[in-house]
Amino acid sequence: MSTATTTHEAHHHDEPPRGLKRWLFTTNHKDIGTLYLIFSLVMLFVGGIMALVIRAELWEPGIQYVDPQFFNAMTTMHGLIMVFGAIMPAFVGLANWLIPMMIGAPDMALPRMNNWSFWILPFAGAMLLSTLFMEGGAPAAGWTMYPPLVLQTGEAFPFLIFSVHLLGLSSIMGAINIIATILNMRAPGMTLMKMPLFVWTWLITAYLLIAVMPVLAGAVTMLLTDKYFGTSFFDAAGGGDPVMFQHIFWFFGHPEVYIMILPAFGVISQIIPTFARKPLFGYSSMVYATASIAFLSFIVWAHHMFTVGMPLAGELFFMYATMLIAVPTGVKVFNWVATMWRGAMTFETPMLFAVAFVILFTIGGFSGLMLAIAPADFQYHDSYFVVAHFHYVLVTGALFAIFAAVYYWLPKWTGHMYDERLGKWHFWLSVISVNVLYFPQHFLGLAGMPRRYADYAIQFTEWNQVSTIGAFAFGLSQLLFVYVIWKCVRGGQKATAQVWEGAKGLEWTVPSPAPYHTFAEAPEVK
Amino acid sequence: MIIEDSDPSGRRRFVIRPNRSLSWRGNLTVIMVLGVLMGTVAAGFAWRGAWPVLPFAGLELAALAAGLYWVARRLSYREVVTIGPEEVVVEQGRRRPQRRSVFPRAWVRVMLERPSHGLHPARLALRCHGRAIEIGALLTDEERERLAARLRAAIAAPGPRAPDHLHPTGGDRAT
Repeated sequence: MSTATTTHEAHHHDEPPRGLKRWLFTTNHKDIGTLYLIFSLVMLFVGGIMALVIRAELWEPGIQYVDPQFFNAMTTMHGLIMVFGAIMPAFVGLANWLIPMMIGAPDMALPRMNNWSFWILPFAGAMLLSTLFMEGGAPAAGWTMYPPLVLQTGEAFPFLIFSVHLLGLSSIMGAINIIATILNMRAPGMTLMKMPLFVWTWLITAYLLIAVMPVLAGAVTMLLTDKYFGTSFFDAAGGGDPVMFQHIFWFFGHPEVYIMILPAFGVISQIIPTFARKPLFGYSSMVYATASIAFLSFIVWAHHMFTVGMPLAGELFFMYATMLIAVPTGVKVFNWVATMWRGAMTFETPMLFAVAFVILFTIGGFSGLMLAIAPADFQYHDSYFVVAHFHYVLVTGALFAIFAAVYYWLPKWTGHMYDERLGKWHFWLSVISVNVLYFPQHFLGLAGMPRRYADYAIQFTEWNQVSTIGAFAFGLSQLLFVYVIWKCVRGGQKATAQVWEGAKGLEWTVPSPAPYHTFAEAPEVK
Repeated sequence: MIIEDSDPSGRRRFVIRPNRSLSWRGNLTVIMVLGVLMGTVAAGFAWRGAWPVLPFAGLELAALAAGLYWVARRLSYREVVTIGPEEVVVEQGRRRPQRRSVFPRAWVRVMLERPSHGLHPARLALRCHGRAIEIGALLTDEERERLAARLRAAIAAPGPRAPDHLHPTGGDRAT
């Protein structure tokens, strides 16, 4: 990891503009990072409320609170909002805040585009949410938007497609900006192999985004033309192929999973060395493992659709290719554990979330390996086991990494230490409730409960009730997270520049809170 | 950033340029690698009938190329101030000098205008006989102040001087 030769003091002209205009027209990477993070937090709660509607309905068999159509709309909107509105923007927010400071750049390479890529999001998100109030209801065909079911959506359909286009456009602009910044604006001496792991993982993520977003755009455009312009891309009656959509969607969708988890790997690779007070074990192998995971993500998409009737050779290829991902992922887990090995570890809240990430993400990885076994997947497919698997990856993986990142860098952002006692309360409440929420879903899936149904057979009742209790506990725990952030923004013990005793990297050489402009003069990196 | 060195003939030279960590050729390589990747993916889908992926891939690649070109162009700007025995030469441009100004060393003045308002940046210029050229606009105020001091020192350093009858103030050339 890099070290700076100079400590940078606050610059002149460091007062940010005041008022609403600051946020509307800002081109400052820190402001835009803050906007992204606030947006994603709001969306986390919107998507979370939808999850609670789902879990409340599943409290017991039969129809309780919502009709099945609305239930399906909730599962669909929950997925879309959490993926495109909460997790992705949170990581883009972290990238905005941290990448320029980590590489010694004064700002993102394309600051005006940065403003645009954020401000598209609230409009796209609002458009997506507005479909809840439209004739025919919100989209209810699942976040994967499989035809022909999705083509039965009512007036909401074109709004769904347009909002997905806008969300994709925002992601593309963010990715272009990140690539341009990392490649062109590193401080002198900051070679690629000296970059912090978070920067590396984002560079690779940006490549993935650039590569797969046109595929999503093409897929949803074909849905639009099939519905309104008489084409038959996915209509068998017109010579099209509905399975083709699944291939196209998952060619986007699987790398998308890595788009949401690679920056999390980067965050964890920053935090564990800090609190283990040791350099990251195997830096180079971490970089190569990240690149390998990104490459493999392009050749495993069909493991999401083993049951569509693929040739045996196809099933075998996608099965083995998927299992291969365990190798670079295993390298990462090994390196994190090796970094902690015989380290002078302390367990502040970011480290607690990071350790929980390593353990719980690995559980998600192992259930992923189970799903990769094609003959076994015929049993697990579209069951609650899949729901448990990807929530272990995306909640105890991606979301826990975001929590860890917020606690880790919050003192740098606000200039105040957060309340450690409340942070630990948030951690323990979250880590217990999240397991109560998702672990029973493994049992439900293995016992045969399908996903995306408002009703279920009576033998699934107990574990569903346990899961629902976990869901409400987890949801309520997040109110504590908001309180901790609010309290930290308002005040608290003053944070030093380095904040954490073991923290290394350029962002820890600037004062806390980070001045409005940092590294206007490029630092020299040894 | 400011790089101070000497040209092949031993004249002091100040190169003022933005920090830049990748050449345009490097950026082109990035665009080509991603172009090949996206082209292969889009062509594959087009071959299977999903041709609408192609135009989106093309648009996105164009946006990426435009973004990288814009950044590389902005970062390729250079100002080179060369202090010779008789003259001070300022060359400005991208990739090659697009504007060249020559001032007699004996008469050139380094002008640093501090702003009247704290939010505005200071401005640094070389001025002579009513003609001025701004330099270091891309620097921070601290860097501009440092550059001004170093330029004054370099210009005032011992070296060939203008004839006394052309030098009414007795040598106070830099302010």
